[in-house]
Amino acid sequence: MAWQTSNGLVHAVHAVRRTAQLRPLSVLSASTPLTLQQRQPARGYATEGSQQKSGAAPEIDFSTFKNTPSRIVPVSPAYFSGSPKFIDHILNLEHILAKYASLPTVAPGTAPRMAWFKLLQFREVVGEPVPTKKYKSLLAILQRLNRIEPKLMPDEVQNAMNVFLRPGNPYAFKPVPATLDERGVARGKGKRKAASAVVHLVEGEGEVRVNGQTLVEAFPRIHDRESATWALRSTQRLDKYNVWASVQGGGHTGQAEAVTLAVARALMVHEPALKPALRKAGVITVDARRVERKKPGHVKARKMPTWVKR
Amino acid sequence: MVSSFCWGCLTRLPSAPRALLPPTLTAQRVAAFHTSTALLAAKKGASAPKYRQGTSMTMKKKKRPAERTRPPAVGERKALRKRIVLSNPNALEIPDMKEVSNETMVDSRLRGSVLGLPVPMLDQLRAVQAFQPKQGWSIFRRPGTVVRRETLEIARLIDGISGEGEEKGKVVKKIVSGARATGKTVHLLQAMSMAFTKEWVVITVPDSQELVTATTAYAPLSDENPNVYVQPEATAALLSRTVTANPVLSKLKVSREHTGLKAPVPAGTTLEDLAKMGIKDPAVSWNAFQALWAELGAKSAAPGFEKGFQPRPPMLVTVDGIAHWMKESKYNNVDVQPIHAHDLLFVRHFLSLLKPGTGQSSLPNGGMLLYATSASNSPTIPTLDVALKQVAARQAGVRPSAPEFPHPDLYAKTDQRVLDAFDSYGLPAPKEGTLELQTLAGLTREEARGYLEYFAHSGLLRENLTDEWIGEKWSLAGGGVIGELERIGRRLRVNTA
Amino acid sequence: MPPRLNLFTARAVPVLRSSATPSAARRSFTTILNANRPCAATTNGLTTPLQRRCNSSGSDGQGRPKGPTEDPLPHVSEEAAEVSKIMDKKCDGAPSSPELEQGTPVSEILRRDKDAQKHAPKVMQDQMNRPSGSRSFSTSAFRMQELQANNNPSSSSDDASAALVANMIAQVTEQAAELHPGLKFPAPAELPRTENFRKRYDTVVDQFTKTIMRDGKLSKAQKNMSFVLDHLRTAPPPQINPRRRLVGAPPASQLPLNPVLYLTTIIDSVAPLLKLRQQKGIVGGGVSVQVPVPLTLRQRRRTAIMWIVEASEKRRDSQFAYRLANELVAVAEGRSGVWDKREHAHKLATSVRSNVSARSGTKNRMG
Repeated sequence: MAWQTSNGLVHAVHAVRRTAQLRPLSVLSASTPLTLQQRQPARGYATEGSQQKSGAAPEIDFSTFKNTPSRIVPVSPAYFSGSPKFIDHILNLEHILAKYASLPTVAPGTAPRMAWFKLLQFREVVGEPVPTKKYKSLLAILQRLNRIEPKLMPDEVQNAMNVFLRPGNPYAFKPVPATLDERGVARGKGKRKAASAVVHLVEGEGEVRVNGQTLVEAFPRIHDRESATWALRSTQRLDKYNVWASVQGGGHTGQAEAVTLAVARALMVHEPALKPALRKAGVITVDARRVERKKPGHVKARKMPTWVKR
Repeated sequence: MVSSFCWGCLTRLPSAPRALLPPTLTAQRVAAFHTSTALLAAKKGASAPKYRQGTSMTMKKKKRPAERTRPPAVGERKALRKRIVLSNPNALEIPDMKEVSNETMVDSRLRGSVLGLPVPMLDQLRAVQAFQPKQGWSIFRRPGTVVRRETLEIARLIDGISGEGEEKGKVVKKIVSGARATGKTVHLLQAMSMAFTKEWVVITVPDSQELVTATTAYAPLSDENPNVYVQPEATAALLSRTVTANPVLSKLKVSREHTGLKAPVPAGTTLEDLAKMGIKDPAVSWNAFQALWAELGAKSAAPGFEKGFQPRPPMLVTVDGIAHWMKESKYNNVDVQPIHAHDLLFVRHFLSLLKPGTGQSSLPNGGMLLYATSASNSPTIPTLDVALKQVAARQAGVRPSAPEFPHPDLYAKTDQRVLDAFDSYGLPAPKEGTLELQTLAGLTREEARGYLEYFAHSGLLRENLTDEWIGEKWSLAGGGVIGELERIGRRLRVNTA
Repeated sequence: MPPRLNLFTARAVPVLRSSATPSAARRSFTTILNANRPCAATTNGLTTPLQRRCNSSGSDGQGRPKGPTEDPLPHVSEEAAEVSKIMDKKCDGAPSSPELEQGTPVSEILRRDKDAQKHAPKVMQDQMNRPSGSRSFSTSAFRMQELQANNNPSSSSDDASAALVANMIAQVTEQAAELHPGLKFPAPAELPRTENFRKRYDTVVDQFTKTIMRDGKLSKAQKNMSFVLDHLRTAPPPQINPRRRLVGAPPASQLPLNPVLYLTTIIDSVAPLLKLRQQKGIVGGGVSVQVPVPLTLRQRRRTAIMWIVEASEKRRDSQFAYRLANELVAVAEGRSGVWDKREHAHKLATSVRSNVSARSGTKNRMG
């Protein structure tokens, strides 16, 4: 059963490896090679072989005897730490980082995006119970290595990092950036609360229509009108574009702020360099909050009916 | 074998109390097909399971503790609602602000600036109820209005009518329409201020709804005409407004004999006294108003009254919110059927002015009719919309027989009286203009700049009035809708000290 | 002459003098406000033609009525100088009497006094150097028309060279204003905090609005708030009670013109510094002890707002907004019970101040 998971597989491989390491003991006692059946209960400390074969001990071959160590040394110095493979990885990465620490780096945002193992995946790969915090420290080293200037990236670093990449590249598929259509119209969509808006933005002189009505008719409240045009007013472009919005669902606030988001997205099609300004103005931040659903047995989403014992 | 005890005795056993009997002996036992339900039903209600009693999903609102303070005095709230404040002593005075005068009102260079209303005129304007409570006069040092394109147009008309040129004595008839807060009522106010400047007689109906909501007294005109009604109190109020606002009336003398009033009107009586007769006694107010109207339209004096006859000034007649007059009123006739607003003589009189006068023009001495619709307080009357479209089409020169001439929906209920009220068939008198529709929209950007600068000069707006800023506000106000600009101008978003 | 006030250039200029009477205060305010609009054509050659009207005698604009965007009156100091000329028959460059009457703008004094100019604050030095007459709202349309009409015949000789220079300048500015590839129009200026979509209102106004909101009805609360601010703007300036002064406020006569500042001042003035917290286990025996705790700015304001709203409930005006507005004015004039509350809270806190050390002692023992 356990063989089915890779974790189980790893454990099995470990078991095999352990036996292989401890084999010499039994080899010592049994000079003739054992049959498969005899080896089956292979345990490191088995002494059955000697019990089975009685008689005079074979002649000691000193040439082989000398090569076997007096004490068995594990492959990794971290063998007794509980998570040797993980620590090996860390040490390896730290070593590499120390080696290439002097290479120039790029800004954090501009480094190529890498899909590292998620924690659960990584645990399965190494087959050890890696704590979250320690894995984070490993990721920090990886991020730092990834920030090395891509042109100067040594192969050693690249190979070391590749070990930790998820199969496939989820970041390879990027949506095609939206463009203006042949009439110079940018289209943007936005949602907020229960409202969804589609905005067509074209260069013009500040006319705004919402569902065919003027801004005043569509939004009687000044606050809402301001909201709807905030992307344009905060970038001082309200008199440079015309807005044609169609919005449905929800109430006044939701509709106004759905238009805000849609206008901001459409504006970014016209002028991609405005993104930082719009981010700062808070108009391209999606507000994903929705009304929480009502549950059975509750009076509202979370309110419970009062419970009286008698 | 005969039984040892008598059956009759058994049947006549004294009936035991019901409670003592075992349940199986009750009548239910006999009547019910199933026993268990009937038996259980008796218990029900007495001891239903009590846990989970609050399963009801209805939300109970918490009761607010009753207000301990006494409610405000009767009428206080209404007074507060109707209060009109025309001055804010904290606002800065604009030293070079122009006033409405004979010269400034026609000066097209002042377009986009704010003209103050002269202080002595304010009483007159208040008397004709030209100001409305929510128009935002209260934050400025003194009331002023923006000179916009339509203002200049109307100023030129008024100037022409009261001048000596060929325009003299002309009659202009306009219906002012437009979206919400586009300045229709203030447009009337501007016309009134100009008319006062030119010493016209101004007659206004500031609240047309009052006449049809059955809040003032009404009575059939006479036994001969039981189907038309007069409203004595409302007419007296109209006379009172007119007398207070128009000091010109005290200079004009009656020019003919008047019947129907309590006392005969001697020659040499001023028109003011004539009107006051109606104010004092509302019973004759309608007759007094008719007399006054006839006097104002007089072109010459009747024999015996020539002494001291003066030519009558032109008149400005304004009505605000005509849509209320285009449906059945809340008044009932003797058959408890609603009376159509057009059967009220007061309403009928003012609506009849829209039509070409018979023989002479409806305002014989010239003048202007300005009837405004309202977008905020207005019943929905589809026929009126069609009627206004027809007015616009006629103004554009579309013949009523042309296919593009608007007609009411055949499948909707059409009020023919409304269509007729705006239908100016017949030839107008020589100096009489046809009915026109004037649609107000937003200000231009330049006018909006002038208006917002007025805020800035008054110290109410502390912003950099750049072109972008103005353009932004212009867009936010739905394309320069002036009422919205006013709301934006007074709005305080941040402390920009 | 009525005082004239130009608010737009007023921002950065500190009000340096405050007079006793409100009218005098307003007057000096006016003069100082105009201080950074010196009329004499200054350093920048390009702006000189625009300022010519400032100095001109006004003969060019005599015939017709002035448009809305024209500035018809001369500078206040000129006016004063003329008055002094008429009054005193003195005609040296430095008029003497206006200083007494009207208050002389600081910048004028600085201009005369080179020594003081050196030691003047940096802000004022900057203003001296800045090209003058640049009103923040552009009123140049009319003036430009006139200038073009006036200048054309006179400046024909300089035309060629002027055009050349203008051309060069235009080229340079064009190069400088080269756009970012992702932009179609000039990049927006740096956004202030209030340009954020979610933080568009002033902090105090926002907090006040949210506090008077009931049942999540924000738009109603905003309507009430705007009524309150309008009331503050239109109500007569508060008669300040000398015992209960508003903290850090400009003279009372200036408050109504800046309602947001007015509101902020009122709230900050009655906001308590401390609150009392019941704390158990300090002295032992399960007895709870009152410990004064300092409040943050936002907490202080919230307390003050709650007090004001509470006090307004007892008023007899018909509407909530009226009650609130009247209560705010009452606070400004020192008539409100909110002041007593504040004093009471402070007095209590002072009386139990010994518990503060006990509390900190426990903390130390525990930590």
